[in-house]
Amino acid sequence: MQNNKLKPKGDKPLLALAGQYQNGKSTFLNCLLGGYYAVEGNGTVTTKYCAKYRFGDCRMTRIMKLRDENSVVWEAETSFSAEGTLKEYDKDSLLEVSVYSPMLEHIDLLDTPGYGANKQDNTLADMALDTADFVLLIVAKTLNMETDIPFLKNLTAKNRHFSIVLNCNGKMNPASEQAQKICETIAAQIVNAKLDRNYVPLSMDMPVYPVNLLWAQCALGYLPEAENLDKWDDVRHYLRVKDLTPLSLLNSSNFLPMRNMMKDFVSSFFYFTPAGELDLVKSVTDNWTNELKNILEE
Amino acid sequence: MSDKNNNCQELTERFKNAIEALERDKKTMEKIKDRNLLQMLFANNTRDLAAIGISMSGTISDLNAVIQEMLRFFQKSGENQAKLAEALLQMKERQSETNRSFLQEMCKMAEQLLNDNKKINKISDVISDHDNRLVTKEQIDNLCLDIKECGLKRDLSSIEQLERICDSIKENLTSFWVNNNHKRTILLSVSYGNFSTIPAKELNEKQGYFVEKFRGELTSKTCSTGIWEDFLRNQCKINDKEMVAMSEVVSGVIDAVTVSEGDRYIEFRQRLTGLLEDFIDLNMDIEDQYVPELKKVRKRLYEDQFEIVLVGEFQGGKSTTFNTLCGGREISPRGLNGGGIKTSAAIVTAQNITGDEKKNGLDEWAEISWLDKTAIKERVCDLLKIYDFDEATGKALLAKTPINTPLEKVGRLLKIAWEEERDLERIDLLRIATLQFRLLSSSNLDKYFQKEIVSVSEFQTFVTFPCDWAVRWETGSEADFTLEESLFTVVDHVLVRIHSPALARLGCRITDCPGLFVSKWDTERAINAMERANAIWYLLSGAKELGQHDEQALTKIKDNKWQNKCFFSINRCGNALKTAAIMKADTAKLKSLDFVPEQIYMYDAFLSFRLSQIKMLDSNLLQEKDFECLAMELAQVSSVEKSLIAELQNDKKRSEDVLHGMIEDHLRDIREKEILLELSDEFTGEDLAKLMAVSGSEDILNAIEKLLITERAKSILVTEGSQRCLDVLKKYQSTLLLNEANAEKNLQLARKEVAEAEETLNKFIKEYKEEFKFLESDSVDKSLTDDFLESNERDVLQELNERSIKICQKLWHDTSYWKGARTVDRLTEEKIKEEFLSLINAKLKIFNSELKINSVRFKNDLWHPLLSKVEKMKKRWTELQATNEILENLDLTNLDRFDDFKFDSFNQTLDKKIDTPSFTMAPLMWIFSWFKNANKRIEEFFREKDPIGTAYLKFKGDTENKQQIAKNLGAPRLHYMKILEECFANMHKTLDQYKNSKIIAANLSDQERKEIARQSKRDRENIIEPYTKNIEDFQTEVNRFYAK
Repeated sequence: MQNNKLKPKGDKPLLALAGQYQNGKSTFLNCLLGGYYAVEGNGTVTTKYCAKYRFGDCRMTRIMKLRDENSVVWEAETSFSAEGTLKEYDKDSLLEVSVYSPMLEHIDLLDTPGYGANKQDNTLADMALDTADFVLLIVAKTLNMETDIPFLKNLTAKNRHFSIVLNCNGKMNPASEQAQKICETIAAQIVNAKLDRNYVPLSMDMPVYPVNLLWAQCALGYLPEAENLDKWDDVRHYLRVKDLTPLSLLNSSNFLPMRNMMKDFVSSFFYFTPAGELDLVKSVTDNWTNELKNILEE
Repeated sequence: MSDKNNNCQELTERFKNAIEALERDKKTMEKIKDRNLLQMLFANNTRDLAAIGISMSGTISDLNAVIQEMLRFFQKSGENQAKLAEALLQMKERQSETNRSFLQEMCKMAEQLLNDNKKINKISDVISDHDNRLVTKEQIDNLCLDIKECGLKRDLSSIEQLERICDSIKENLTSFWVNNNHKRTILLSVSYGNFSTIPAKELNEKQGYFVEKFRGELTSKTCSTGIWEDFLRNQCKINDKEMVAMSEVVSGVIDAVTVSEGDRYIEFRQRLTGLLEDFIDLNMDIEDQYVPELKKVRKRLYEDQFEIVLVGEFQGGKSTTFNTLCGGREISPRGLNGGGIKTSAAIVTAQNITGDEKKNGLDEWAEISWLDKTAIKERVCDLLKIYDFDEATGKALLAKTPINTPLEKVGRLLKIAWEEERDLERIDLLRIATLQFRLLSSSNLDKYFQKEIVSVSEFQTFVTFPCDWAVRWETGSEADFTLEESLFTVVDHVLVRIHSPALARLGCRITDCPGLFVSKWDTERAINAMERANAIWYLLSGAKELGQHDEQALTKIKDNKWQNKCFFSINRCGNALKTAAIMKADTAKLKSLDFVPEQIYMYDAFLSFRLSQIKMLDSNLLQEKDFECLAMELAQVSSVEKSLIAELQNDKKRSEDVLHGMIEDHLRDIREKEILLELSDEFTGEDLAKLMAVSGSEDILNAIEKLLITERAKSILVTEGSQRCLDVLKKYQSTLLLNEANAEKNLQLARKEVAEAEETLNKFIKEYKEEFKFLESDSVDKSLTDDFLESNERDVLQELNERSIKICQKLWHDTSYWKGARTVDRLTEEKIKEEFLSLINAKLKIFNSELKINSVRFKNDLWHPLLSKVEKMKKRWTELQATNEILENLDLTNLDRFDDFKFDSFNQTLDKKIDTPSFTMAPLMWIFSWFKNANKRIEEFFREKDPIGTAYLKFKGDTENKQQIAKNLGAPRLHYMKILEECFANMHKTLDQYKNSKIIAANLSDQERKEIARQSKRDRENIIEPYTKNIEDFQTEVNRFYAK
């Protein structure tokens, strides 16, 4: 299994978060894990390397080569100091973070660099996806012809299945008419681009799932207190609700239903993608790679 | 450098000689024995110098001259000082006893000057160091800190320091556009840090002096001292009288040396329109034909056709910006309720209405330009070329000239295309083609096409992109769209004429186009719009840094060499810190793409839009449509109850509250709560001003104004403005003179004169038509074509090879194409052809625009002969004019328009005629279907087979292609020919007019003729001549100003 370095046999399925840069992949990941693990962006490209999150009893961070699981080059307790260290190593290093989070009991998560910002990140994102079993695409508006669609085409070419989550920016309510409209459009774009063969809707009545990650972030309260209070204040103001509780906000953000659905979905998805088929695909692709290697070497 | 050295040596040499001469001059030495000659010379005080008889003594006056020169040289730069000091020191060793004292004095003086200058230089260096990068607040802060620091190390008096700072500002900021916020910051640092000790009285005395001194030639601008007081007292909480006065001095100087150009232009324009107004008002009764012409000039002054196109990613705030410039009106459809879906589908241009112009009874209107039917069919057929054969019969369906294909066949071909196409981009184009085809076949199309002038509310139905476009196509077909909804596919562009103060202020057109890279169709349109426009306003997203599709768009801009007409703003989506971080990243990326914008304007589209809406609401100028959108946003749905719209429309206070609420939400959104806290509940005028400053719209409007000025000011004020006035007046004047002369002429005399004039003119024209015959030959065009193909070959091949490889890699990556070699070949070929043509077009454009500078052939064979012959012709005509009174009134008109030719504006599109042989990659199929990553093989394929090189050779060898290029390159030649023809025709026409009036005049009685002559003389002397002089004075002033 040369092609599957990230995931030794018998390991949990790997769910990759992908999307254009600055669409909220890291925020989504933090929300899923319920803590501040991945650095969230502020307009400029933030995640410049792949980071894999796996279940562990305490927070541990290791850096290794993306192509070689055994080459651990660095180890520490926090993930943030790792970022600085990572710059010293090659770009294609992999950051592996162990986290004690219920979400990770059945699945590993992979945070990827956003595509559409520069070539290098694109390649890295692409490379990382080779190893993923399933891809969750985070988008902020309707799909872009130049970046999103080719990315998805590439994904289907590799026979990866994917699902889409819409991150409603700023104050857009996931339940609003506009959010619904965007979701419908995206779903139609998928069909139009003939990508539906590999598309797995999270829910049948809502093929693209809208969530407001800003609200979810507030409700989960993993940011430093001052920052969080500040955001709470804003959200309360937008929603014009006086007795806003974290739970009600988590509900309005659509994140709670989404998370529950994800849990079910993660366990059920691998039933209907037979492992046999996956293995077959992999053995064929491995074969190609070897052939190619031979020819190049000659 | 060597110049300077020589200068320095020469000066010291002269100094040495002068001192030696003085030493020898015993008589003078005696005379000045007890006086400190050097001090006197340095002070350059006339009275003292006269006392020692400087004018009598050649030696002293020589010495004086050289010392003054040395001082001037010395003050110029630090480098000069060091050099001169060194030279002087060297001299010191070689000097005799007598003049050592002179030298010592000189050195002491030099040292002192050096010290002083060091200080000034430090401030100057600091300012100029920041000058290039006055972009972020942080940098301005640094600059101000430095100013403060300089101020602290003082051994000069405060007034002297102030003067030095003003000097530095003048030296470093002249002709630099410093925006108001930056100015304020500099001002603050100056006022807080340095000068608390200056007595107000002294400042008051000095104030006038400073402003006068630094204003220099900018005399007509009223320095804005005073307007800052309010700002300093209220916002900066400076209550110290001295500090306010002091800061006003500095602000006055900053104002005088920085923004004055813009104000100056506006003032010029106002003066000229004022002059025209006066003349038109006062002289309505003068001869009819002249007043309308002057009115035309006035109108042109107001409605300059400068066009700015807004470009950027979809949902990046283009339409919001556009609507802001339209005075906060909902003219271009914008994404409501958070956006996220494409809205604009057509190119919409807005222009202000001056005066009370109306059309079809509408106060405001939209002029729709429809694509004509042939053009639509051509587009559809063009798209279908690659699918062109019938599966059943195997025959080509399109006629040889595709446009002649019957509609029914086009329909059949569309069906085939639908089945075959897999590429989403092309599917989108097919959808548009299908809708266009349906419209073409519909009998209702003509009915729509008749709507050329419609109301502002009506036109939007023709340009709005159906918001559920993709959804409807997913399950349905073209039948899911009503004819009206698909009309956007046949609209070429829309010109909206509205009353908007912002557009009136800028005096230009602004164009909104669909977002880049949402679909190919949109990108194409946006690129066309960019080509046409005079300036490109690129909106960078403030939500995230510049991405790859921006890079693509910028590469297109670069390909076409449009960088210099491109300016950037960043649409704020977060707090200043975030935006500054993105801006930093963007600046770096732009730099790597060869764009070095002077400044990226931080700008808040949403806030500016709302603020302009508040303004419009205040003056009751918002329309129903605007309230409808407001209601939709308030209720967060896409269709609202009529009652809510009516409520907003009727209750101004309510609408105001809604807008205030939206602004508050937005400020929270961009995390600028501090500003929010500063605002009062009612949004007073002061609050609005504060918000205006936050929105940055003022800065960007200033920038646009400045752009307009640098690009257009002179041409508007002189060529299009005052010169045209003068032409009209001159014509009028000569008519009047002729009237005066006619008093003396009887019929016979007049006839003779006319006949003579006619003969001379005919002979003259015949002679010069012969002279200009060389313009008719197209041999120059042909050789230019060869030059073009030759000189661009290497570039094109290299560029194209790189791009083609990328295209292949992108296409081959997608397995859905692995199914059939034909599909891949077709698509690859198609894309490469497109790239080929667009590149050739771009290169052609550049070649064209540089013809006059770079092409020796053009210069030698066309341009120089033309100029010299025209010169000769002009001279000859002046000679002939002296021989006949009528001819005096005939001028060689428009010959200055030779230079007017816009080398980059004539049509350069090549038809798609290009062969790309050996592009078939079928032999490579097996590799692609076997290997995952075939990038290397593709590169190899291109290297070995060189398909691009072969294609270029074929392209070059094709006569038809060459003819097309030659036609393009021949455009200037044809333009020159046309001008000459027009000029001659004009002369004939004018002669005819004079002939008639002359004969009519000669038919009148003596008495009548004399009366007319008397009146004409009065008009000429009292009205025309003084007025002409006014305009001439104006023109001289403008010319002088812009010659700087």
